[in-house]
Amino acid sequence: MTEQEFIEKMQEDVLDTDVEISLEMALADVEEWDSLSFVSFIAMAKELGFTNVNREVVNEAKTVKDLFELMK
Amino acid sequence: MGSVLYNFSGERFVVTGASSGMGRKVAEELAASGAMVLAIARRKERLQELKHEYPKHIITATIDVCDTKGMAEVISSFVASYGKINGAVHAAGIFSSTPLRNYDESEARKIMDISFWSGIRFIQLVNKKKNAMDGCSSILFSSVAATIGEKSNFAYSSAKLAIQGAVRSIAKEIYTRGNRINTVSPGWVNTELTRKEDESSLVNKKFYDWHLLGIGEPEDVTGMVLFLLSERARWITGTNIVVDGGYLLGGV
Repeated sequence: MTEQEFIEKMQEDVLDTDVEISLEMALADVEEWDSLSFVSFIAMAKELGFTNVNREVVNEAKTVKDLFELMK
Repeated sequence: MGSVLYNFSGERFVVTGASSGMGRKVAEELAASGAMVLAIARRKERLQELKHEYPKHIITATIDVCDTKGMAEVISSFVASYGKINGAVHAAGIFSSTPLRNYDESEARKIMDISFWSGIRFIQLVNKKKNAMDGCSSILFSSVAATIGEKSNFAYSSAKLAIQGAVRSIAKEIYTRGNRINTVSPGWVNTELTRKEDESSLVNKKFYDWHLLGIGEPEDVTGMVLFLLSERARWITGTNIVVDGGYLLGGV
């Protein structure tokens, strides 16, 4: 998945937001990053075959880029 | 006796199963109330009739609701042309007997696909922020069959009950923007779908008598649908509204 594809999936499927997201953004600053988007992210990762993405590793992510790194 | 007239001028709605029965009636009533309606169904000729009746208020899309990609495209196109959606109604569905001893599995799965799975995808699409106004109201058609478990209809009853369960869960996900979702459970309503079932003679004739107020007409149900779509229902979400002429009381 390219960076652009990841950003699009984050905006539309995970965060469901009109706000533009960038890899540098801190998750704490993303208003839509909440418990629902948290589980949506894990569901998306599983759907794409990243079965190692679980609550523990997502909890450690601080930025959008950290989430992107989990999808490699 | 008083009457209720809705004004949906300047609002936009998407209705599936809009070529006949209650879906069509919902589309007609919304159009007559001033709304722009994206009417979705498979039968092009029927949709064209609807468009002919309300040329300024009905936009048609001939598509199978199970076509997820196609549904995303037609909804996106409607939103781009007319603006974000205020509400959505999933009325698409099929009815077919599935006796346990000899049911057609592909037909049973089709019932679930059209009523339930395509309904979930539809609700997912219309509730996306890019497609929906805040406060968007979604309605899916369930049925009294979900409660009473009609004989030889396990697939239909299950699909309609599954919708109710999903709605209770989804309501908890979409409320943050004021979005709402509910199901409506009609009793036996005089539509093309039920007439076909009548002809198959599998319906227990007592069934009709249990409708204390007689068999319904589409407009007996669509009033509730329009109410749930309206701002007057802004405090109602995650629930099922039965509109059945007294059927679930089980007879006198």
